[in-house]
Amino acid sequence: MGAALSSLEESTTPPGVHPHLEARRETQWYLFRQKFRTHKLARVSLWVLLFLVVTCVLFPEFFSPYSPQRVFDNQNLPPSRVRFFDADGRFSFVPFVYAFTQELDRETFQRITVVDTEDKRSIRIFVLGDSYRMLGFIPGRLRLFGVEGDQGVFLFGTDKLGRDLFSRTLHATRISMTIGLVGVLLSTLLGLLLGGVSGLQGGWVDGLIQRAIDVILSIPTIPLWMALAASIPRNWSPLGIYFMITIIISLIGWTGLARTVRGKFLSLRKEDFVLAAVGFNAPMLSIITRHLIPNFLSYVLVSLTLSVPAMILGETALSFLGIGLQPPVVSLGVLIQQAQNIQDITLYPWLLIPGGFVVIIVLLYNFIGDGLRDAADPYS
Amino acid sequence: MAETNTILRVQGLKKYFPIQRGVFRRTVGHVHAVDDVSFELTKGETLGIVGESGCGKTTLGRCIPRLVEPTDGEITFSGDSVGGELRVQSADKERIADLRRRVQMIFQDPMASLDPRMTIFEIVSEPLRYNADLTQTEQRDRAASLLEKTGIRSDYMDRYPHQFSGGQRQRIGIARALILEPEVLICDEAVSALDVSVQAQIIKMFKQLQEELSLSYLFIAHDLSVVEHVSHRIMVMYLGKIAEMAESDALFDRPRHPYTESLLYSIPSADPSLKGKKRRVLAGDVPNPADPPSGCYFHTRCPYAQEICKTTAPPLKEVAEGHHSACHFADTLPLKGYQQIISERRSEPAHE
Repeated sequence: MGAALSSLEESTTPPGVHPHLEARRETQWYLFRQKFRTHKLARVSLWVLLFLVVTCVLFPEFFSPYSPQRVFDNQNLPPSRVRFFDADGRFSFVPFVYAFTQELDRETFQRITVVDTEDKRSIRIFVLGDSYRMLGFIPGRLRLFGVEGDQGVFLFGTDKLGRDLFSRTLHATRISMTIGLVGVLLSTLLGLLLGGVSGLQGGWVDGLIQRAIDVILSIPTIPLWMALAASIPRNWSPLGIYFMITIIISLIGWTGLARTVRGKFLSLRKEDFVLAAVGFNAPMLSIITRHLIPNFLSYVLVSLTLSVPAMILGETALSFLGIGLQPPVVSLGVLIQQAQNIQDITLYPWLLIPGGFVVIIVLLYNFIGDGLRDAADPYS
Repeated sequence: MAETNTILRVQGLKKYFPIQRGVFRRTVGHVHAVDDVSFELTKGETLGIVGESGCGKTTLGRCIPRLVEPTDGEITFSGDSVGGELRVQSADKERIADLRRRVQMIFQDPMASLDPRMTIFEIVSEPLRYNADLTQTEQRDRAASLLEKTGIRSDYMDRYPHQFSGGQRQRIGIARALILEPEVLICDEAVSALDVSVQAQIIKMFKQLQEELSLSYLFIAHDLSVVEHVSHRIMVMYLGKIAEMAESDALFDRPRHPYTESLLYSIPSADPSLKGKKRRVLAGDVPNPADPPSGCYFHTRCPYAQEICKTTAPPLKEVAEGHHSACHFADTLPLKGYQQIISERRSEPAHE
């Protein structure tokens, strides 16, 4: 805020006084960025989100040590302890894990892990592991890290089939984050179109769209989703189900945006600069594209960011209930589904780690949305 | 003023806004924003339009380039370029487009009337995009020359509106209004939002532009003091109707309508000898235009109201050469002119 104010003040000084200021064009975009920068939480969140996008959305194959479908012999294994000091207290620059064996406790019938402190396995970076196709078409085997020997390194432990939870979480984050983005894109399209028509056309069209929104908003979300999801044929491909789920979630999501867009259109239409444009014969289409849309784009951006978490949570809820995405597709909801009963949670608490990812991602989006809103709102 | 010089003639202009209620948008009444207004504007003339908020000045101004669709009435426009007459009431799209090229508006709030996302060049040259076939360089030259004419350095063209002061923004708005070389400018409270010193500069500029380009102005304002300096004639409106219309000097010297007199009373004075002396202030608010009083609309607040004022609406009649008034007692009431009011207030004992 402070920086934005001072830049406004600078801009009113006559040119020639500060030649270095003259060179900088203080566009709306510039002021927007300046304000966003002053919002620390949002700035940090943006970087963390970018990190997640690179590691999970773009290249999870590289950053995860194993394929999400690879099954190890060790089921329900707790997270591996990565060590720098060995049992004798000697420091080693290269982190390592101990080899282990799983034994059955004869009294409690629990599986317990016994480490062999004699057998150190170093963690190596840039190793060749399971083969994959990056982004769907680049074949490769290079992984960021891996461990020597036949046993694996499981940062988040393994699930009940013996799959590496860390690798699965990275891949699941990709699905969950993109489903949010794709869903938001779809609902934005719907919201812009219907809200725009509603605000511009007015009359009975406006009334119809607004009442439709009322009806949609009045239906409880989860039962509606369940009904719609249940209608997806089970024999569809995972990709087909993925897109259907996206569409189902975005069918609800557009309503809020449509209202915002309609309101913006209604208020902007009465602005003097729009009236002036009518006064010099600007065609309606030019008024919309040159005056109306640029003036509410920032609001749309904010409302987009704030609705991504809703999409992610929607998908997670559906998958958790078992009617969303189906294995072998992994989403965060599918992963948390494994932690559905109390026994699993008490015995294998690491199965809840993907839930932490949901919380983090939702928070990141909310913080960024908060920062964007502050930056876009000239009155705050 | 010779009849042939008339550039704009408005006859019986009415704009009623429907009041709609309920789910089915039933029309339960009308707001008579502009009610049977007729006037003429000659070339190079400035007609001031004065009245309180809500009296229909702005609607009247917007009806002329059809930014608001009038309910009834006839607007006849005759400019040099075409020669023929253009009747707005029955005009088709092309004629309206032609009319809008020749009538431009200047708005009250110089911040709201400039798109904050556009550079000054984009704002000023935008009318050219839709009304002229010019290259980018030609547009830049035109915009530059008009900006210079209105007192904005043309090397500021790539800046944004928020980088300018209120007065500068208003100059930019004026440059935009002038770029199509219109014949009539409608200035809707064009200086009301500005500081008094800036007001004076802008008004001076309006006068210069008028001499240079022989423009005609409809100068809408809410107080007489601003209008006095620019207007040849002044029209006083009350609740959508014309209360009085006369030459500027005549109106100030000998008003023929009690409402005009009360407006004259309300003009603030910078004379220190008047400090602490009471001003006669009009009591009450403007009546609800959806439910106007019977008879003369002004009778509820008129200090001279008689029985006839409550029952019969006075017609607008010519009481002297070029002086129209809508008051039953226009000839007989001893209404005071501005100078009389000032000297009366001076002779009064100090109020405090």
